[in-house]
Amino acid sequence: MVARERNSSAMLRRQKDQRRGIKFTMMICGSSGTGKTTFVNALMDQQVVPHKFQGYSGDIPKTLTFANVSGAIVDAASVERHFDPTLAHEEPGIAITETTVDIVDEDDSKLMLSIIDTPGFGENIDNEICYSEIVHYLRQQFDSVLAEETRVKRNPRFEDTRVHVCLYFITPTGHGLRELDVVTMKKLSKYVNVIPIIGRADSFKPSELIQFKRSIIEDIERFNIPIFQFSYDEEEDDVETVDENKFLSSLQPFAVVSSEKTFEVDGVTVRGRQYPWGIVNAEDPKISDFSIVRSVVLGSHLQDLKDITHDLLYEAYRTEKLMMVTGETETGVGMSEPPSLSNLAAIANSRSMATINTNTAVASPIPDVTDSESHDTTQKNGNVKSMLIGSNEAVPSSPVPEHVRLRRPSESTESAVVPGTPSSTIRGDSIYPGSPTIPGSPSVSVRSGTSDVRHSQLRKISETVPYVLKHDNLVSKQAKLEELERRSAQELARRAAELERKAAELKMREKLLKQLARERGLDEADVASKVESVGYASDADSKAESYAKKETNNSE
Amino acid sequence: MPEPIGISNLPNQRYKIVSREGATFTLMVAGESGLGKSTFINTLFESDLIYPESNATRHKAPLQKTVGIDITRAELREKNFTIRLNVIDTPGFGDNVSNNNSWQPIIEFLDEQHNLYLRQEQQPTRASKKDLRAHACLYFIRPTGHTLKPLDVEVMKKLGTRVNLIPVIAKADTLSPNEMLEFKSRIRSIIEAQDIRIYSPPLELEDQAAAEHAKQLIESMPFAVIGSEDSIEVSPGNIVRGRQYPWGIVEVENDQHCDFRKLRSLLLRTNMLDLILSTEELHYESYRALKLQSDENGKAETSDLKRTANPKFLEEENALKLYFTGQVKAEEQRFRQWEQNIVTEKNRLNHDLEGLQSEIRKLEENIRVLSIKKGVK
Repeated sequence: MVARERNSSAMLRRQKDQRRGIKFTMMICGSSGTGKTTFVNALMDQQVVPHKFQGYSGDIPKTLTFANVSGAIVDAASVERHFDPTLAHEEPGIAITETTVDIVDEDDSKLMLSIIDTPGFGENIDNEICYSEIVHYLRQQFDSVLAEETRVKRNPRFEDTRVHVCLYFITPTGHGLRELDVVTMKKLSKYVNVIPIIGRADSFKPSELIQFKRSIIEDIERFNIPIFQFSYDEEEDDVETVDENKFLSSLQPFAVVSSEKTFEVDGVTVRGRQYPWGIVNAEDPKISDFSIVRSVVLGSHLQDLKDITHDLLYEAYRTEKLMMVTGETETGVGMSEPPSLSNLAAIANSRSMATINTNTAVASPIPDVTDSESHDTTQKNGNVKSMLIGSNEAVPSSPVPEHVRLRRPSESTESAVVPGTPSSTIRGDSIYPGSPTIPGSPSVSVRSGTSDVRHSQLRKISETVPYVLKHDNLVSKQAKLEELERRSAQELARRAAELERKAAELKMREKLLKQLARERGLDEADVASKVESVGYASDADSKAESYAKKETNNSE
Repeated sequence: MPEPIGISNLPNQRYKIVSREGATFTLMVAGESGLGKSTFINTLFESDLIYPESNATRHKAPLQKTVGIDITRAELREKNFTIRLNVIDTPGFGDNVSNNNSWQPIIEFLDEQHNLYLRQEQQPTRASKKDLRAHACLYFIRPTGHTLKPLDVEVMKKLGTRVNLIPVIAKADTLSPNEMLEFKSRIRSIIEAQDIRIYSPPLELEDQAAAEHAKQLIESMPFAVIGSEDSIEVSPGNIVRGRQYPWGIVEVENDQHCDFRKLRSLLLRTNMLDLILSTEELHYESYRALKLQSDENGKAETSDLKRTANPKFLEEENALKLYFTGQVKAEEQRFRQWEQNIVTEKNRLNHDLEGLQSEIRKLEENIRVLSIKKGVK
């Protein structure tokens, strides 16, 4: 019975999602010239991202942030707009840009896709800046969600900008992964689902491709890169799902040939690349995994990717962050625990469920995760409400003037609309006592709202966390700015020195020229020069005298 | 008609000497890994000179690599003419996250060969000279279809002043003809704008055909090449070197597919001698002039040159300078403190002195008052 109710609520939620549109954020990362832009455009079936150095009439991607190695303030994205051979030696740095696309399916479901691109990646001489900037960006998105979650007054128009999947394009070297690939994938996979993709697979013969895939898998295992796994459970999932996921994991890393052009092959119009020696059919599953990647990312595993981002990656980050922020308040167990920990327990519990359930997601994308999540929220709602009732005066006036709203408007409205709301809370309770792993069921203690200590701690967290996060953010921004300033000052000094050097050179030359002219010139000029030189000498003498005087003064 | 005296026979004499002694040719290949450098060398000489890195040893090396220099020696024989071939490979170049100064080992190696040859020349007996000066350097460019990376520009600039640099677009079978045209024109404009010196074959104006050929070669720079060690039977009895894809066969020696034949002609058939001579006359000469000049100007300059040339020394120097200025500052601070102390001491003493003086004055006053009193009494 419980299961059925779960299903129905998830169904409702799904309908809601469909009406509002599903938000999905995809990051495209990889060295220049691995076919990222073409892949995105082919994926969307229209030109959404401009090619490098090519005129483009549509919307130019919005630059979110950029960083640079040298002091020059150059946005790597704008560098790519026009080709300038005189700037080819300058390191472009890295930028992070966003393009949003709305896709409407036949059945009226809307997908709001934002594509995060990373122009300049891997093009610098020292590429450390690349992954550190991307990691910084990913962390910032987590931070903003965390700050919003813990805020007393929530912003109803808050947008979740977390990145759900990162397609990492591996350069088709044929020699396995390079250091940059390994380090970047490792660093990113802590904050995002990384799916490695071999770009431009048409540079390999079938046998070479197999060999290359094998070396990449070997490298991934050797360096312990936690890439996205198509996991399945033989016992719980139905045969189809198991088969599909088995097939997908056997294909990893996907090798992609993408093209924006279409050609006619055997009377059928297909996407492809035309060479003098033949046409590559980019839609042929034997040659390119393009269609598979498309269906995985935008179809079958979309919800899976979102769930993992929220339930595993974000939760892990959140735990770590809150532990850091509220480190001093965490002293005991049970009652004195702040809600972050009680949530952690719930998460720990639900995570084991999640890992099982994410597997079922393909066949039935209604994982328990969403349930335990909604339960989480109701529990949190309880926190917020009791806090508001218990200590209304003490709530600090948040700078945001919006009235109090819950974290997920969808859920709150849902619970208001759906007549079976109480069942959800009942369900929550019925789940909790049922799980003996949680001692002293924290949710109950929260709802009783009697403990003052607890109140103050709750308040403390909701008061401090957003500000601590904000503070962190500010500090890091400041550091970045300082760094930028320092670098530009260096650059400026360097340029100034160069100019000075040039000026001195010019002066020298002028002097020489003058001398030459004088030697050749009239006697008068000769005399004049003598006078001048004498003048110089006397000047120098007087200077030396005054200096000496100064010295004596000082010594006195 | 009188018998010719035989001057015109000189080329034939030369031919005999050369075919008896053979020749030495040193070819350097540079570029990131995975661009088909080894395959290209094997294709060029139609033999297995360089073995690909085996998969078992691949994981033995650490992830962060240092750039190395690999030298492969071979003796090739065609129509009983021998050529001693040295192939210099630079594994590990451009593979790291940070490629700062990754060109240093390559540049140092090139300079070192010039230096070595110079030293050998100065020896009293110099019959058997070892010569590893690179006569040509193929720089492999990744076929991104976009532009050159800053790393490419930097390295090509440095290589261009030391060897005959020949830029090569690797794995040309991944760019369609239009993309290739655009990529080539971008690279050419970068080479021009950045003052990168690349090798260009001499235009012989007397020989129309040769001039035409050279012009063709210059126009197709940078050469787009494909390497392959496999032979494929295209049609019965017609076996070519090529790469067999599911969508077609790429022929290495097909001018429609790539510039391999042009590059081979440049390297081996028409311009090998020019490459060797220009190395001798241009690059070695300029190195020699620079070296000897700086030697003449005293040891200080050479050491200076060396110091500024080596980033390690430069770093050390900077650190030392920093340390020095720090020390000076500390010392100055100490002196200032000392001065301050002295001033305060002086003030204190002055103050004491004043106090004493006022006391004396007071005492004098007292004496005066007392003496008046005495006088009154």
